[in-house]
Amino acid sequence: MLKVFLSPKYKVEVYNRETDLQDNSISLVIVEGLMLSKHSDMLQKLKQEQHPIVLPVLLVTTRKDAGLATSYLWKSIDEMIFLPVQKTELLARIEILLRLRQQSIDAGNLRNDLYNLEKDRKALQKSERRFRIIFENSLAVMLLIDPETYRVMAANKAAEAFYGWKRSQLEKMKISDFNILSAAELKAEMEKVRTSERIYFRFKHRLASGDVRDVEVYSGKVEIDGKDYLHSIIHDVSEQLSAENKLRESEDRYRLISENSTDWIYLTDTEGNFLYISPSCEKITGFAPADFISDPQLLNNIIHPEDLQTTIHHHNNTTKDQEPDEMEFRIINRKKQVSWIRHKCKPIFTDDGKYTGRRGTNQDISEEKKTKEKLRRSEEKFRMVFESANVGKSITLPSGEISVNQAFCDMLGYSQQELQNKKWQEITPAEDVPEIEQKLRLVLVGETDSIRFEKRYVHKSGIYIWADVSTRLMRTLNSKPLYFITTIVDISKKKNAEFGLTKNLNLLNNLAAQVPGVVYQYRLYPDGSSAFPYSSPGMWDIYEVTPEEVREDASPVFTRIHPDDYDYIVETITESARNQTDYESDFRVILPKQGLRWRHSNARPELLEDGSTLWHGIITDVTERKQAEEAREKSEEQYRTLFETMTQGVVHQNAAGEIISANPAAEKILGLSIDQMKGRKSIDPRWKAVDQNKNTLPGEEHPAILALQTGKEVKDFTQGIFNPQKNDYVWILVNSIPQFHKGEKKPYQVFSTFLDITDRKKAEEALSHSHDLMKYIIEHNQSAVAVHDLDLKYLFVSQRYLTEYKVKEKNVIGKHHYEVFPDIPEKWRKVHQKALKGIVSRADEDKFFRKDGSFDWTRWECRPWYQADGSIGGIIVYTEVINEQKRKEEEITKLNQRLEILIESIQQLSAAQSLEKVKEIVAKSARKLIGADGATLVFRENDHCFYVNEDAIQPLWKGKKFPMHSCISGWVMQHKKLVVIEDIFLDNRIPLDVYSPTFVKSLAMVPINISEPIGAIGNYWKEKYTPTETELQLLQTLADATARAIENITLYAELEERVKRRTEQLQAVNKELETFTYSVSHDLKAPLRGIDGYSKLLLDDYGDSLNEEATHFIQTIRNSTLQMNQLIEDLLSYSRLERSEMKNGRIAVKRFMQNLLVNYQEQTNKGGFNIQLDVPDIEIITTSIGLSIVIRNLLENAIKFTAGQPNPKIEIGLKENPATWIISIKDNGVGFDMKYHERIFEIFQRLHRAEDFPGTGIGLAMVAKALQRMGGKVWAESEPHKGSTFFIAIPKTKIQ
Amino acid sequence: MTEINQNGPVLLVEDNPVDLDLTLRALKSQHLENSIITARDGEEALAFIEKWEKGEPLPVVILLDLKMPKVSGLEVLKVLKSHPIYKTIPVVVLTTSSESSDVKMAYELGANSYIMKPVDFEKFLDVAKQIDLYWRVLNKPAD
Repeated sequence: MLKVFLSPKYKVEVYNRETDLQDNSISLVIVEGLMLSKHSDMLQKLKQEQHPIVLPVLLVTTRKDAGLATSYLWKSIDEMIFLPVQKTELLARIEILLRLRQQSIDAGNLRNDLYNLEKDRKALQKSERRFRIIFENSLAVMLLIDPETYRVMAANKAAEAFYGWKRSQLEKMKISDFNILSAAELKAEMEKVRTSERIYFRFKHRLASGDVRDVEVYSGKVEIDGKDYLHSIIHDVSEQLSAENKLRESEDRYRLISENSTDWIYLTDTEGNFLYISPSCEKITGFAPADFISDPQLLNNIIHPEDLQTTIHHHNNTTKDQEPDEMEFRIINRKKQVSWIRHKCKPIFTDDGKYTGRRGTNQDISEEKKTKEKLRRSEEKFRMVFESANVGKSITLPSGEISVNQAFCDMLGYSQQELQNKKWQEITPAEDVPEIEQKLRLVLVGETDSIRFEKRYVHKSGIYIWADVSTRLMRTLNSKPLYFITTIVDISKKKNAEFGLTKNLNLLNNLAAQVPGVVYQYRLYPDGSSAFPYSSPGMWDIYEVTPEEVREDASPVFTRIHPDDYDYIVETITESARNQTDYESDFRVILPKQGLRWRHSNARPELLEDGSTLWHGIITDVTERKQAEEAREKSEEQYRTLFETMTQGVVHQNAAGEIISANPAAEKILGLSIDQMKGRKSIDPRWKAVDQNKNTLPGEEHPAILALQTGKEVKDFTQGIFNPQKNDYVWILVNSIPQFHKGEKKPYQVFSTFLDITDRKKAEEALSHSHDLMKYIIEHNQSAVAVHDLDLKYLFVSQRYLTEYKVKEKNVIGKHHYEVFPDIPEKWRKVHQKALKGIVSRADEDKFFRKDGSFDWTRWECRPWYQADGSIGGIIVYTEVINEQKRKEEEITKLNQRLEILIESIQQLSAAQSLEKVKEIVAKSARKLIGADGATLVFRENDHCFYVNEDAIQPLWKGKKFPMHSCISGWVMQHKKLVVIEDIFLDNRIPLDVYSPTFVKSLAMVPINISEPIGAIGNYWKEKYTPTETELQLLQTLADATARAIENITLYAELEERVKRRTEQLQAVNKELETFTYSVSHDLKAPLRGIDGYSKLLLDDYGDSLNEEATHFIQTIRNSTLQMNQLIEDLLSYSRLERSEMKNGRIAVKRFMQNLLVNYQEQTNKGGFNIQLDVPDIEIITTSIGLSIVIRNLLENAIKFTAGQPNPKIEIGLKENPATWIISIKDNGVGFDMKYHERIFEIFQRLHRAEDFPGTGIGLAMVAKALQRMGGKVWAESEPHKGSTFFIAIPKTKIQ
Repeated sequence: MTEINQNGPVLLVEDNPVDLDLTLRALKSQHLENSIITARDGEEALAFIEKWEKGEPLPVVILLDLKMPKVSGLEVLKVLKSHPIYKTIPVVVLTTSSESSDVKMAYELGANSYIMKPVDFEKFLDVAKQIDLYWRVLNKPAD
């Protein structure tokens, strides 16, 4: 059945013994109930081994069977399901179990993964750690770089050392911080690495020191903590590279040299094997370097057998120290041609002396050899010719030595031997030698190879032989001069004919040679062409052309002419030719060597038969002159401009002092035109010259004249001159400079420059004036003022200052402050220094001690003064002696103090309520007031003076009485005036017997109450003292105050007495009244009781038998008694009110009102009253009884007079005013007419009839009376039928 | 029948004939059981003390007017209340005004209560009840 349930969803297999339950394909085991016990072992085993994967076991059984299973069996199952079971339930359960299984599988997997992960991680850590150690300790510079940010993530110790940065710094940097290649270079390098097989990068890194190193960077990827890094090993190859470079460079150079050298250069090692051979070897030998290198024997093979021995010998001779000489040998080259080789070699050593090989140079000298051979042969040939010539021939060495042939010797009459040793100069006329030499020089320098000329030789006999000489210079192959070959032809005869011409020419030349420049003949042909048939050698200097060059054609010269002058030259030549006038011109030439030069040409024309003009002329170099002229012109120009435009006046005067020139500025300043000035002398009175002090300046003392006379410059001379234009003086500052001709002592001219300083002078005058003014002002300043400069020297000082400080010196101006006051205290020096720094110091009261120790009170101020440019120029000190003021001040202070004491005393006196107090106060005050040594208070008692009190340094006469006539106080009282006794011993009013035992020496006494003295106050001094006017006044004032005080007290006492008596009276009266009132009311009430009582009885007992009228009568009687009773009560109350004690207390108003209202509750409720209590919850101070009476009465009225209203309403309110409390009681009752406002508060006054409203009219009277006693008042506001508001004002009081 | 606990008389001390008459009437109007004896002034009142000493029955309550000639009510009260034996007799003071200072004085001297004149029976009863209480307490055996 189960199978049926399960089959469609799950694959079901029935278990048999062979089934392996460990098979992983089984995911669930279902056991049928009865089977459980059978297979329990198996299942248990299964359960135990379930790890990690759970194989769920489901038991399907009936309930009955389930009971059979023992507990241990339960261990083998995971779930149990009872039959019968619904399919859905079964499936659901199975689902759960399968899920359980799956979860366990997952868990198992997870555990595995974790385990593996852990293993991996541990391995990784281990390897990372290993890596880290290696990284750290490697000697190679290593960096770990973040491949994304290129930030250095880690650097090892070696990196620190290499880069020079600490690791902490490095790890903050990016590669770009020290890799100095540009982005482009970097890219290129990367590319290079990628494409080539190189595994490293060539970079340049900058170190901390700033050095840049070439580095090779090996970079690889490495993973640490799961992140990729670039691990770079940096290898410093700077040295290597530079060395490599250097080597390469030198190699290149070397290679360049060697490869381009025609010489064949080689290097061999110690064995003689070729290390290097230059390519030239191929040219020379026909064999390539490679051939030599591969076959070491090749060289020897190609050496000509005849030379081989020598070669080998040569090489053998080279020891390590010896450098072999050059040698020559032949080789047979590839083409089987023979070449001559010049060989040189030298051994090579290392720095430490080790022999490493040989270096050799082989030069192909075949050509040379051939040439030499040719030469030899030619020389031979030559010799032959030479000897046999019938013309003279000589071979002359550049030094002059000659070798000659016979013909030559014959010509000159010498033997060969004689001539052999001579130089040609010796056989040439001395005067001709230089010329010849020059010619020869031309050849020597290479200007020409040969030269032909005519020269004289000196025959042995002394006569001159003319010869036509042509000489050629033979040079070596490399153009070194070898010798001259000269051919000499005797042309004496011809020469003689020409001699004349030659002589002339020579002469001409000689002359020409004297002339600086060139002497020339210039011929202009009719066709326009021209030439210089003759020109002296100076032509070269003038035109840098040789005479020969221009002999036939003058164009070379014309090319030299400055383009700007070319036309001019042509023109002038043409004109000269046309008019046959003398030619003169100045023109410029541009020469190759000299550049731009000036030439001056002078020539005379001559017309020839063929129409051409021949000039004979001279051209000289006038460059300097021209340049000088130009410079002079320029400077003259400049000078002229300056002269015209300068603001200074310039005047030239000749030796006589006459003005010869003046510039415009001079005209302006002096107010004269140059024409007016010309010829005027300095001494001309029209100048009205004055010196700086405005004294007349005599002409001789004018600066120009002075300069002329003394021959010396006069500088900065100030003078005044009258300017007729301005009609005023102008002031000028003059410099006069005498001018001398060369070598002369006396000047021929003086030139003066002057500046208009009128304004300056004026300013100076103003300044001087203001300076004087300031001096004047300060001198006469009423206070002491001193003005100093920066050095504290006096600039200005006031008279007052000098007198105040008792300065003895007459002239302090210019003297130093401390010089005048050498003992000035340090404090002042500091003050001055402060002022110099810009700080103002002052004191309002300062003691200035003098030498004798006394001092003055001063008020002073010290401040800096400023120059025009704002800098401090010095200091100013203001002082004032304020002794007088101070004294007065002190007096005032003293007086004030005394007045204070006086005032205090008077106040105390006025507050004194007893005589005792007065006595106490006066004695003390009297002494304190003046500061005397003692004071007494004396009262008059009939005709005795009673010394009631005293305050003194020693006891005087307290308590004693003296007869008035015997004591000074008595005198004062009798005479009604004060007394001052300076010396008691000298005044006979003093009872000496009384005074001498005391300390008293001087006294002052004032009467108390001058009009009727009742006493006196005395002051006593132990030293002789005269009290001042003020002191006496003070004392008198005190005495007067005392008099008043005593008066007051007496009065007061009297008043007190009176009051007491009056009070007693009143009290007695009050008492009487009280008794009276009481008796009256009591006695009045008694009969009323009778009336009331019996009338009641009447009604009660006989009411039935009474008719209405009778009843009415009785009722009326009763009413009347009631009324009477009420009246009496009211009266009693009223009177009691008058007499009662009104004690103030705190009343919580709201509560008070509420309590009162309670009493009327019944009435108000019954009447349907709306009572509004608008009273704040505060306390007021007043009498409770009084307030109670007032409020009750008003309330009762309010209630009474609102009865009958439809909506009776009473509002009670409390308002606060500044000085009072206002309570209001408002009703909406019957109201009243305000014209009765006053009456309603009178006793027993009513505005209504008794039958309308009850009451005796006492209520408001009570209210008024009560308020009167409380210090308040009452008023009302009303309108008939509109209700009334009653206000009471209670004063704000304090509780007593 | 109203009665006060003991059958003692009520002593009425009153000088004014009108007041006296009215008071008597007021008391009798309700048929007070107790007899009423009167004294016309303070002297007479004090004379009663002798009578009691002689054995006359003590009044159950004394109604004492204050305003009297010769010896005033207050004096009588003083004497009565200072008497060792007769101070226990309750005394009700008769006043014309409740605010009278005499009333205060009376209390201070030991008055037990007061009635305002004119006396009416209601008031009297009220007072009597008060006194009754007092009297009872006094009757208690001493603790």
